[in-house]
Amino acid sequence: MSIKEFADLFDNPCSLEDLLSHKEELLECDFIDEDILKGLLDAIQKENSPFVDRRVAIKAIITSICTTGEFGYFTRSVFRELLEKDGCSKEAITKILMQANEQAGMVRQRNREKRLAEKKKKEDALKKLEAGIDMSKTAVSYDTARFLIRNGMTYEELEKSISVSISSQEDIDPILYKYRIGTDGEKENVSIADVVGYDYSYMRCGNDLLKAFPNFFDSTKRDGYHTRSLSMLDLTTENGVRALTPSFKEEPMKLADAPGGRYTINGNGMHRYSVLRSLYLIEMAKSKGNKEQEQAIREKYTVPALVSKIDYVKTYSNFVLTTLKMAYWVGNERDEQNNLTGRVKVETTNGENLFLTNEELLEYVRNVISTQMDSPSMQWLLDFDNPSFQQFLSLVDPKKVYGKGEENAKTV
Amino acid sequence: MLKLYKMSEEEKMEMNISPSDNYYSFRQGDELLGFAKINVLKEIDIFIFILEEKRGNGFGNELYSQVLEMLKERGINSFALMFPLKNVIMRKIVEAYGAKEDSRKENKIRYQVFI
Repeated sequence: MSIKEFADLFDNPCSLEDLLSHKEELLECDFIDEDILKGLLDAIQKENSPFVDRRVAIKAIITSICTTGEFGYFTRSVFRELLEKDGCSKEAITKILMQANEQAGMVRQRNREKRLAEKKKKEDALKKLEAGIDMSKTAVSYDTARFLIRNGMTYEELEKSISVSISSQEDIDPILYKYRIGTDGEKENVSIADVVGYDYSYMRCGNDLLKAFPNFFDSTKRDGYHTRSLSMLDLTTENGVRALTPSFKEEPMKLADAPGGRYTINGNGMHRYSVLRSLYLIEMAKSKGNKEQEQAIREKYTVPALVSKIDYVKTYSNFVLTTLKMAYWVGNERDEQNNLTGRVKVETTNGENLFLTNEELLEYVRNVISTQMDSPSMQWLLDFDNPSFQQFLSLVDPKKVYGKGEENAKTV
Repeated sequence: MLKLYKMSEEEKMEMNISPSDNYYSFRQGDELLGFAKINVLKEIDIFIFILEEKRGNGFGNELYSQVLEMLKERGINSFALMFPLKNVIMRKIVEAYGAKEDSRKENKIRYQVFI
């Protein structure tokens, strides 16, 4: 639909529904922005006229100019068409458009000043809160306390309402952590609710998400790693996800999956995770157990990421063959382009290099186990009380029940 | 400017380093930042180290990058790199330069590095 055709819609009185039925057609045009069209249609609707004709449309445009200050190509072109059809002379149209342009400019300026004043009011209120931070009464750094107070919370209040602990892969499952063989990162939408932590073993302040902030955000240091993202601590629950959204496309967070639908940070995204997880916890603490609100918060904090997934067959085979000292190394096979082939490379202790699919690997492990049944290491493996591992053993040989049995097994 | 300088036999003796190892000091002007071992004759054996007081300034990244450059100049374009699983900083550095996790064994992790 062209602008002229849109203006023609008002030649004869029509209902608002008829007008709205052309919306999709209009949005196919390059120069029509959905927000602007919505603004115009909303303005027409507010005229509360039983029918829509040229006079109503002109009045709506004038009202829209005086409230929003919007007077771009689309609105101006429609306005001109409507005035021409209404019988205005060229000179009159030019004069009207110039006055409308001036009015729109004044409205935009007024709106801008109003927005700046509101922003300044908010910032002044936040500065007042920050000035009231008593460092003798908080267990976190000044940067962290400031970040929290800007979100209407102190560390002490948050910690009472909700757990601020983080978990590493080692906390979740030490065997999977030590023998992990996984996929390369694949794109997936993940909720920060399910990203439970990162490897904090090399950091100060252990597994407390907020006490660990100085590892990433420290205005007292001079190096880039601790200062480059300090501005992230200005983010709030209102704008945090929106502000960081472009970064997820440019440089996605890298995650590793873990049993129970959980994830940990795996290589990239510690700064963003720390901030987003904190904002998520603040919102959850404020929701006070309202299930609907909690679900909405979960969805709000769902972001795109690259996720590496555990290959349980390869991982547990690695665990078994290494424990039985039958393999020097078990790892992913890659092609010349450094992509996974799906097979695993087993460097055996008798000097062989085997390249096996998962089915072949299970068969290999079955044969190894059958020769090692009397060894103490094998007994230790059979007694290993982990349902996921027991499920793996039942995959190795479904005819035998090696350990605690299938009743304890969960799907691998 | 950050640069690698091959250590002399005397320097290696002073630091009790084996004379058969190729060691380099990593410096910014006269300031010593760290070391690198780059042996490629029999198998690829690499080690990098930044002095503790110099860490946290991106020197590890730069040192690793220069080591990769040296390997590339010697015609090496892929190798396996293994180090302790707990060395999260090293993991971040090698992953930043495109290395992919190969597998883990107890307390070690191995990466495939393609230059």
